[in-house]
Amino acid sequence: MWTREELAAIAGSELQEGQYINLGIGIPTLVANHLPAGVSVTLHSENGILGMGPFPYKGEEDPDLINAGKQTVTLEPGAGVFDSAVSFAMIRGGHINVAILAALQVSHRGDLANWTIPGKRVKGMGGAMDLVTGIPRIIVITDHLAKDGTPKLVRECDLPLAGSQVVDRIITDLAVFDIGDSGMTLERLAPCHTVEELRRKTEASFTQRLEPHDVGGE
Amino acid sequence: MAEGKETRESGGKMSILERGIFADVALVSAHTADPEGNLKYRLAARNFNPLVAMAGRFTLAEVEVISDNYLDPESVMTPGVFVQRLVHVQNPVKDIEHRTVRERE
Repeated sequence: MWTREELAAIAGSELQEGQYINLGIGIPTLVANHLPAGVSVTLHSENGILGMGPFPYKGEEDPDLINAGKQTVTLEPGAGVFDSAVSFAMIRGGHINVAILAALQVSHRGDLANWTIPGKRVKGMGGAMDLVTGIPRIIVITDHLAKDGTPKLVRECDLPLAGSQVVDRIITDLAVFDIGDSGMTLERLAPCHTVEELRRKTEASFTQRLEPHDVGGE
Repeated sequence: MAEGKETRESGGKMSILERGIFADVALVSAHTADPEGNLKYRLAARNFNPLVAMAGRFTLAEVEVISDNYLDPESVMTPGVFVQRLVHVQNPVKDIEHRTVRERE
C-alpha cells in the first residue's frame, strides 16, 4: 500500500514544466512538497493566489495569507493575489492546466462526488463544480476504500456529483487508473498487492493493461 | 443544486441560471480605508470581500487602518461608492484555522 506521501509523489511526477496547477484540500495539498526536481510549475489556490509557495517557517505565519483549505502558506516570487471572481475566471476560462483533487466517490465513467454526504453539515460545494468543468485535466488522489471499508471507485456514485465524466486519472493507495472513453484502465498496482484483491476492493469495472513486471508481489 | 432553478441552453450546453446576489447589509473586512471609503485588502484576505462589498445595498467595512491620505487611485480595490460605513478596529485578533508550518533545514 502506498503512503500518502507516496501518493503525492506519484501525482507530482505527472506534472510538466510551466503548468498551472490547482491543488484541492486534503492529500492533494501534499503534492506541493513532491514536485519533480527541475520541473517548475505554478500553484493556484482558488481563494485568490497564483504562485503559492510552501508552508511558512514557524513564527512567520500570516493570518491573511492562507490557501483554500485555510492553511497558512507563502508566496513565490512573481505571485499574484486577487479576488474570487478573478480566480474563477482563471478556472472557468481554462487557464489552469491540471487540478489534483480528493474524492468521496468516482465512477468508472469519471463522475466525481467530492463535496458532501447528504445529512452531513458542510460549508458548501466550494469551487468543485467550476474546477472539474473548467480545468482540462483532473487527477484524483484518494484512499482506495472509504473509512467504513466500502469501495470509493463505484459503478454509479450515489453521493451528489461535482461533475460527470470529468476525472482523467485516479491515484489510490492501491493502484493508478486512467479513465477514457472506454472506461477505467489499470495502469499501476502498489507493491505486494494482486489484481484479484484489487477487483474485490473496486466496485467499478476496469480493464487491465499491465505488463507482468508492473504487478506487485515482490 | 439545480432543483427549482431556471435552466437555459446556451451554445448547445444546458446551464442553470444563477442570478447575482443582493444583500440588504454586507459586512466586509479590509485592511486600509481612506476618507472616500476606498478600500484596500491584504494578500489572500481579498477573497470574497470586494465581491460582497458590491452586493450590499448597505455595506459596512471593518478596517485596520483609516488613512488620512487618499489611497493611490491605482491601488483602490473597492471604490468608496460601494461603502456606506467604516468601523475602525486597530490590531484585530486574527485567528488562524490551520496553522501549517515547515521546519528550518
